[in-house]
Amino acid sequence: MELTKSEEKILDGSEGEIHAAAYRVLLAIGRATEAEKLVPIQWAHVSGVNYNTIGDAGVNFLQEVAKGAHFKVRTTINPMGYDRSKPNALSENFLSKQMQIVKSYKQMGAMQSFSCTPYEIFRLPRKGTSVSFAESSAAVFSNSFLGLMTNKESALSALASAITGKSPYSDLRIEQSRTPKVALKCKGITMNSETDYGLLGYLAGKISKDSCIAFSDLKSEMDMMFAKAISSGLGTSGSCGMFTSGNMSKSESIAIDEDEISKAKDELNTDEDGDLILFGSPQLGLSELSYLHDLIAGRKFDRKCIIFCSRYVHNQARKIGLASKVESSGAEFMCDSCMCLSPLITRDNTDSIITNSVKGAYYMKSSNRVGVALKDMKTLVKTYSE
Amino acid sequence: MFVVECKCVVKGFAEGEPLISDTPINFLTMIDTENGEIKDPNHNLYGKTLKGKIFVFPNSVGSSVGAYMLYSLKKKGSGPLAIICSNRMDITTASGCAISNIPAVYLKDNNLLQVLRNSRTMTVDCEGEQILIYQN
Repeated sequence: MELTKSEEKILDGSEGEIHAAAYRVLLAIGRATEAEKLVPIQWAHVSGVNYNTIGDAGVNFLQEVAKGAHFKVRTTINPMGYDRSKPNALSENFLSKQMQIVKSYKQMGAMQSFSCTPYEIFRLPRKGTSVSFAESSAAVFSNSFLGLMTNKESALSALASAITGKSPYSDLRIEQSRTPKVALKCKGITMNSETDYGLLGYLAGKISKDSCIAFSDLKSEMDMMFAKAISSGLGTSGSCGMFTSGNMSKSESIAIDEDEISKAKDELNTDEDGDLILFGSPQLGLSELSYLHDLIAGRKFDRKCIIFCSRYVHNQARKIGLASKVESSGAEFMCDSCMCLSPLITRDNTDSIITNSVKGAYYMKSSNRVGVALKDMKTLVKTYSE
Repeated sequence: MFVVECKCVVKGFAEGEPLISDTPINFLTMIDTENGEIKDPNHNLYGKTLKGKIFVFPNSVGSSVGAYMLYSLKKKGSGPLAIICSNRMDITTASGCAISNIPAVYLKDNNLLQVLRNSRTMTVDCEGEQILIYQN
């Protein structure tokens, strides 16, 4: 990858060690994706906010970075570990470390979004705009539905792009690379619910070796809930950053059957039942909240139910009266955070959870180490409310 | 001795034993950053550690936070000596290695992975874009 003279200077330390390190990251990912040059980006979305994920090494690292850098472009950040407006039983250590992380991002100029669905909150740039999105579900969603151009960035590559305002011109940032070589044929597979879409994405992520894949039997217009589910499923299991829908005649096709979907489900669905219902991975938007409201229709959940959503979406829902209607079912809102690696749900206090989210199921099982019952929202409400 | 060609992503030089994973790695969920152990019970290298090894895997998958796991491993002295991606060098691995100064390369042809399997020790020479394989 060729750097301009001014970029070379920064790499050599003319603007200090933090900027040099940011360019070292861009150089490495540029080499990895065989980029020719760096291009400006207009928006960075950074992951690595929850103390439960980045740990002490991350806390100290961000503190150092914040001393020497300020974000050059609009930068939004992923969920943190808990809801700032609610009491919790987390340790002093967790709270102070989490606050340090938030402080570092704030110091660098990040918007306090604490959301994995920034595309539901902020004004969207025009199609074809280069961005740098780390959150895997947001990267896939933005490439596949919004026409934004990002690679499947990492927490550190998006951070480097936030600091420099640049990313390598490679892979999914180049129009020609956004045509998938492989198409998955999923004819005959039941696609009724968000969980079905999530499982299809999860399976596709395991199959795909490229950064873009096609689903030849899906329609490109799909319900927002399904779109978020398939994007987050794909982001969870693979390295794929985009998908297209519809027949791709030039691509090689692979047929998948119901059996493979069942196997993927069996892997995640470890329990038949659970003692806690979790919604919101990715965090729920207004469309999903209103769907949930319709399903509940005056019923009450027979066990604890937590809904993860961004503070912005929660406030909107509150304003239009939707939040209180949903709460009358006994469900409670949890803002600023997400179920994945939530410090609030551990094996000490929970045996197993029930969720409609494939991404949530994966992280609950493998990181939080609790059992999972995977059921779609409709079935879930029907089974656990009266 | 064999020579396997590779592409350099993060410069450096390392010599040691390989630990080869045939399946992709999710650094956030599969690796214990305290000791470098593979903690996913479904992984065929379950219980083995990448600490002090040349870690070979197809590419990383899943969480974008995985890059921080590589950094944590390095800070705790539990990191790999070098990383070789046999399918492709993904952004999570590349950025994590760049911040942590872990030499990182990817194979020009993933069929070359077979050659790597036959080795007890190897030298990863990022600058020279080659991996030297010793069989005994």
